[in-house]
Amino acid sequence: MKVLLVTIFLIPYVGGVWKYMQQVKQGLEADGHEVDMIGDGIDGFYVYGGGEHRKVLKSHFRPMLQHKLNPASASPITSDPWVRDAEVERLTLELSLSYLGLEQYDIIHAQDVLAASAVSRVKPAQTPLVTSIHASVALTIRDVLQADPKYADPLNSLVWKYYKTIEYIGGNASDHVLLASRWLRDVMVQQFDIPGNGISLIPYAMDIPAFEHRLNAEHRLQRPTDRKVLISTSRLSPEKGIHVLIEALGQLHKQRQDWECWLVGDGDKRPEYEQLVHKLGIQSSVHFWGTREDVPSLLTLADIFVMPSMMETLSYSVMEAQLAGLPIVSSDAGGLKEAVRHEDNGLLFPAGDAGKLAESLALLLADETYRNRLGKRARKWALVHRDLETMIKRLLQVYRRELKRKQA
Amino acid sequence: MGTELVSGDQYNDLFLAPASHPFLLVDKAIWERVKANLPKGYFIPDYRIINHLKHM
Repeated sequence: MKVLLVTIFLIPYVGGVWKYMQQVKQGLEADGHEVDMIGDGIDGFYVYGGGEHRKVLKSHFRPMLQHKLNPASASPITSDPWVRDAEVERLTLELSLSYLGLEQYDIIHAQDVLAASAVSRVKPAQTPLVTSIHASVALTIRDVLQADPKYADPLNSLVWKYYKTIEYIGGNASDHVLLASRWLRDVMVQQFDIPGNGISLIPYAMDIPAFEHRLNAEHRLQRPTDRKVLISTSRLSPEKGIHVLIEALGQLHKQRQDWECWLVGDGDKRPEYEQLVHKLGIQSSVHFWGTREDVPSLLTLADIFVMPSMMETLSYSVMEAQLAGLPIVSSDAGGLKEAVRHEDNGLLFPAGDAGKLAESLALLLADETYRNRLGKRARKWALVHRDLETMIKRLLQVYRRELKRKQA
Repeated sequence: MGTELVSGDQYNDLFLAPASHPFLLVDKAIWERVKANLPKGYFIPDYRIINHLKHM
């Protein structure tokens, strides 16, 4: 089979979607299939690793789209600059995909609903379109709008309605939808009218042997001898809840100081979070390490893994921490409670509740036996449920079934 | 081989109710290839989106 993985978002990128795409490519190629990946290269959509002749500049299409999309034909899209720009970008992907050529692929596997809606308009009719929805674009946009004072009535804005529409169209235009968590399936069915019988649940996975090799790699940091290490490996952006973690650490510090917290990752919010740490007087206990390549080996230096996310489908960071045998203290946001089972392989706290997070951290800091038990169970669970070969097998089953359906 | 630029109006049939912009130039080789690969009946804008928005 020749498979295309396609996204409207930037590739390569630090994040779960790119990780997933690379895993799928690796797994399918190991099984003898050919895989191309198309994504945004900033100035043009391109085939990753395909050379200059497999890239087409957006500048070939954008001026035409900007001039020819007019109120007479494209209202209400043209009435809001955000929506207009988003639609120009989506249409640019449609035209770029037509240029790059889709007839050569047996299966097209979109990685987001924007790409799915674009592909569905320009692909050959007989080519199945399978779409993985890794997170709800519409709900992410909704959170941005609700945090922006310019939007007095976010759920009546054209921006929200546009992304809600894209979620619906992208999901319904696909021959099959893949989701990684029951939580996201419920969201897609109930909020965006994507038919439940067209959805398969295939949780994310890890190349466990490769990860275990990286666990044993040399680490360049030293752990403290007299304090426990709490570690979080999330991007420093609002939806990852780092502000909640920092508030919790401020409360924890009043009770006990036998710990330090390592924040591994970077993002726009870093200066704000550094300021918050100073305001709470915990700067000697919280370290911002930025983006690092040695996350697996850093996990071996830690005692507790913290996942404070406000919204999460299914986290690779949690998976890595589980395989490293760390007890997980996680928010109950989204699909996290499907990976972290409260008091079984970790502790859950209500998303956004810094007080409850502080309590859970204090509990684990005080009880080494309990920490170790949770950590062992976390690793055992991940070894059973996060195997990459199984994920690829299930993906191939979906591809083959959809190919058969189209051929019938 | 040089780039041949032509008026973008030559591809107005891909758009619904497009205005004329004779001085908006596009790369003919790029647009001819796109046009050849697009399915029959394709046009811009995407009316699935517009119709869905109008019913919300």
